[in-house]
Amino acid sequence: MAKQSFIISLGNRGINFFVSIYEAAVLFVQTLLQLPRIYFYRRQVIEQFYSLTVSTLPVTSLIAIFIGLGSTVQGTYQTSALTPRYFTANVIFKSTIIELTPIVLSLVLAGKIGGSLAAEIGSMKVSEQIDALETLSLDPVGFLVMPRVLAGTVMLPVMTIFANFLAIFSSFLMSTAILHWISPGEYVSGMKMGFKAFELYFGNFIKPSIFGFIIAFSGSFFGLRTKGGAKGVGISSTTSVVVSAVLIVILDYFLGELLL
Amino acid sequence: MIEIRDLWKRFENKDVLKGINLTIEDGKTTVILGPSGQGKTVLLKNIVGLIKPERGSILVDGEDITKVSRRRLFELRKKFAFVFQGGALFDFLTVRENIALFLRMHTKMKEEEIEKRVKEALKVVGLSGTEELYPEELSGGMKKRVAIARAIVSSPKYILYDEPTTGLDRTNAKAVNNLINRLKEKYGVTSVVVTHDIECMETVADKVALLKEGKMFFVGKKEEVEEKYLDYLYKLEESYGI
Repeated sequence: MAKQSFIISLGNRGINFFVSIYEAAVLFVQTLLQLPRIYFYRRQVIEQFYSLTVSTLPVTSLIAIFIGLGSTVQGTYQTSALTPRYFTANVIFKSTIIELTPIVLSLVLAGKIGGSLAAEIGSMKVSEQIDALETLSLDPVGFLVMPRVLAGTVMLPVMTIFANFLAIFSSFLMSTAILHWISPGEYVSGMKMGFKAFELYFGNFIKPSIFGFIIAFSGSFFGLRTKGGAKGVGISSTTSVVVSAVLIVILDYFLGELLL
Repeated sequence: MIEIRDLWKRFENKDVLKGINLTIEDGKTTVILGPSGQGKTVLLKNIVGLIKPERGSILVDGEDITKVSRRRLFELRKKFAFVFQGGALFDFLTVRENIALFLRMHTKMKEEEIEKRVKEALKVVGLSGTEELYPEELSGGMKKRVAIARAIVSSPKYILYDEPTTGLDRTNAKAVNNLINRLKEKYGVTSVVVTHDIECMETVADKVALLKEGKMFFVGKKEEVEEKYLDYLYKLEESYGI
């Protein structure tokens, strides 16, 4: 009996998983279809761009500075006795730009933006505000989802560029002015060594825009699926953060494997 | 005019609406009365296309809202305003922005004109001066009245009220009932009110429909209800501890 109910529960979970994938695909298509209406929803788009930037700027700056400092301390500790100093600077520069900043920033923002998006849309769902939008002849996907997904996809690269700049600058200052393990000239020549423009593009645009899309889409998707009251909102918010964090880590590997 | 014909709606193997037939006449207030969980709100949400029925039709000025495309549905909804039970005000917008939203999104009105309309709507519901407040700063009764202001600002032909007096004290409930009547008299609005509140029915109804277990078992004038279904009204009052 217990075995039977276990199999049934497993089957139900499997079905729910595929239903969720289907619903996510439908929402994705609906979001794309709302893109031509960007002018109609311009106020909401501008608001989302603004609020995403303003709300994440302090945490982005803090993370970026400490990514730079942490990678410098680790880099010098692990390799400076073994390799030329400019080579260590090169490793710090590339690992920060391509890997550390995009993934750490995305994971933190998955918690901050994704969680709050799911909670915001989820509480709108349970308090009938989504239905109210419909009765005002406003499409919830156009009014809520499209502006958020667009802002996430466009603004995360902007935030990443800013964070990368801060991270490298703090690493440069730490290395040359505080630890004094390398001269400014050597650090810069380390950065130039084996420089590939595509790597910059990959770390600053491709990865963050995909991660930004995942964060905003996941927050919106789980928010719209919210059922019940406050508990449902909490579940949506947590699920959104976990799903986007897992997807970010998995995609980070595949993107590196495919594109580098 | 809205004509509901043989409307059926099912949720998880349970029929919530079982062949509803009802005609909502222009310029009048139709009250759908019944206890909780009998399908009143489901019926109201079907009328505005928020829920799709399994079977049946809802003709809004001759056009079946259950069968139109999504684009057409959005056009048809401009004839309606819906006052939700909890108000459903957008909590990230101020009272002014809540009321102005429809005008900003669907008309080319200038900001001064929108501001004038917002002020007028707030005056009608007796809440002048609350423009800058957020929904969380309003009481239950104020939320309902702001929701009504948001409803009337678009000059709709039909206003649908979902339990307009639920959760309000007698004074606020009376104010909302009087407001429903005033809107009918001043703007000629056609109203559909779902409620379990007998006082609300007595104050606003031109026509009453009694709903029980998903079926309409009486449609007629309120005087007839009070005459023929007094026991039903007593039981309804008792079930809510009124």
